[in-house]
Amino acid sequence: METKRWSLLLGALVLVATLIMAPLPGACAGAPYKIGFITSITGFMSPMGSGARDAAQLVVKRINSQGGVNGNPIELLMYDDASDPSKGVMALKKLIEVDKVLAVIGPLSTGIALACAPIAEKAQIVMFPQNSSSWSVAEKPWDIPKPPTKIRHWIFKPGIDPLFQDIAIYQMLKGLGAKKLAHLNVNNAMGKAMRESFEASHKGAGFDVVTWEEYGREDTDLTVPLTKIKGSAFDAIVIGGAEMAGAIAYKQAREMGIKQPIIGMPPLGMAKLIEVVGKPLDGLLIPVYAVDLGEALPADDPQRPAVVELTKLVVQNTDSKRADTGHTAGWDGLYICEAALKIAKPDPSDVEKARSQLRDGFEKVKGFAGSQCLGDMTKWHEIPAPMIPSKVQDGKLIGIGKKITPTWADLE
Amino acid sequence: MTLSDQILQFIISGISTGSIYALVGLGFMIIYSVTRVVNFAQGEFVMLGGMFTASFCSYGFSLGLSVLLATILTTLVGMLFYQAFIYPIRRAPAFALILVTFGVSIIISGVAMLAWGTDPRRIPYFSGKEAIPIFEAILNPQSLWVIGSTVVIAMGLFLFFRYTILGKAFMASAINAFLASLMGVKTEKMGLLAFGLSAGLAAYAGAVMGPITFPHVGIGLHLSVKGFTAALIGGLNRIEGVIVGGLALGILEALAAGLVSAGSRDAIALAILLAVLTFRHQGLLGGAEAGQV
Repeated sequence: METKRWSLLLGALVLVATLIMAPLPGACAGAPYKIGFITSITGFMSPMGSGARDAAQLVVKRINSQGGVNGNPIELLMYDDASDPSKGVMALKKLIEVDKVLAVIGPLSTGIALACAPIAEKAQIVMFPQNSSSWSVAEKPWDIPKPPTKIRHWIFKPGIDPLFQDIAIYQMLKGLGAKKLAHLNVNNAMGKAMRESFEASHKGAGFDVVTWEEYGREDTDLTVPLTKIKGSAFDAIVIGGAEMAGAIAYKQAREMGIKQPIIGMPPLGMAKLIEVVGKPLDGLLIPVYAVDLGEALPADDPQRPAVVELTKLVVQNTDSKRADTGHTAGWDGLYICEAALKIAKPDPSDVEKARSQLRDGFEKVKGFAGSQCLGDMTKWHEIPAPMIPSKVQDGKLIGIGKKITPTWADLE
Repeated sequence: MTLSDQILQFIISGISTGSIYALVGLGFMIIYSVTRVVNFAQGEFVMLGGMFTASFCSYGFSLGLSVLLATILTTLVGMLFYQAFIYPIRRAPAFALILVTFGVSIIISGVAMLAWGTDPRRIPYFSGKEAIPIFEAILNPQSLWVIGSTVVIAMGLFLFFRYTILGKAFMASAINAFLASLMGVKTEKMGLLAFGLSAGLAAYAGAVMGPITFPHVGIGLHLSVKGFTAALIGGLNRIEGVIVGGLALGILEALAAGLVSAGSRDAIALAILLAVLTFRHQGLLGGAEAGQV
């Protein structure tokens, strides 16, 4: 009896093992490159994080079906940080110590990236937080608006920072002739970072902020801060936030009879938000990333192929009607990693060495044209992310100006 | 805009937000008064109402029909919830029942996330889009619907409990389930009724606030906390207490955000809740006897 049970168990094990080891159709010959991916599938960042998950899975499938990188397939190990820094740290540690990945793409947001960056740095593994401010590449705080002074050796990211977004905003505001501004931001980590950088940079850019107001992420009635803004003398309102509340702020400002121009920070340009709220957002000005414009990108735009490809991939394989900054995080994150793998050609069997080779690969990425990033890795470990001045018209974003590509080099 | 105009706007905003809190709070009250369960899945019922309405609207159903279908469906979910999770353990300590409602709220929001994804949805305005000016302040037309619905529902509930046999049976089992059962009231049916009524009410609340708030699957917990706070401030066992609690919470939050700072609003709401729980734990209007609906 006992022997029979054991043999049954053994049989089952063998069966499972064969199933796992059986080569998938179109699989590549080499040992896989294990790449970690941390995103916010649940929690308040989930609208963006779930897009990053979908795009990352689709991109890996796409890369592997085309023969992988250097003949090796990519094996993606994904964890959910639940929009929570402590869970992000746990995921990162597991990826480094248990899964032994070669690099980690993610986490998405600044707050979680800041908690993870010192750990990745210490463990000597590349981390690529896709949507974090420059705080995560900098080793210590520095004097904004100067460039960060000391850069972490192992952290790389897209050139996204509140200050870069401010530069785009200032350029658009100058075109409108606005001088006195009312600043309205969400009171979470992202909104506060936006406000800090705006506080540090607006005077130098020739602007005056007459009132600083805040709102909560879950707020659905923004008339309170807007009433206070309405009571001050201002030429334009700047909204720093990515949530529905930011879009509602615009809508309610217009309902309250506020006539001045209103400009949103790039995160407000998420196509999903604009699609849901629709025409009440008409007139909202936003500098947006390439992906947000989608098909509205000019035909000769170097980022158009990536945006169109990504959109096709997302629309065909998920419920989404279009690609957005969430999907971008998956696409650009993995394709930049692919570019680094191609340069470094690491041997996946020696994890330590491969991690260090791959880091040097990241440093040398050049001429990347993604759905958000464009250009070469800078010495601040960022690939620039151009913004396009845009506005909402008939419930859709349209470009209204030339690309703005701020980097720290402009501020040295 | 003078300070008095600003304060008027804060109060109007507070009333419209407070009405939402009151509507959610009424759902807490109905279930609590009959079953002694604080139902933390209440916010999820509101979410279901909003999401069902938005989905039916997007399938091309008329707005009225969408709201009706959403309310009916959510009512069924509420009754199923009672039958499947609460009824079998109805004699367990209140604490265990509350934990069960927490668990169910996680299940509901999880399933909803799989079904609908995490994106916000749009529900069209019930009537006009133009804001209504009140002196220097404005009122969103949809807020009028929210405020009006709160008043009508509160009055309807009051009449139902006072003047119908079913309502009286309901009240009887709220006051003393054992005695009510001796009088021939099927008290366990009353639990089912309470969950159904409460879920339906929550669903309607989700639909009527939807055009302002843009429903998404993550709104449940936030609304549960606010609605529960409103019900606790006013008194968990009186309709008028919940209405007063909701409005007080909404207005104080708006004044706090407007006159102090945006960050202070939740802190002030929680401070009030703590003060009420410490000094007047039956709520501002709550009677000494539990179950006085």
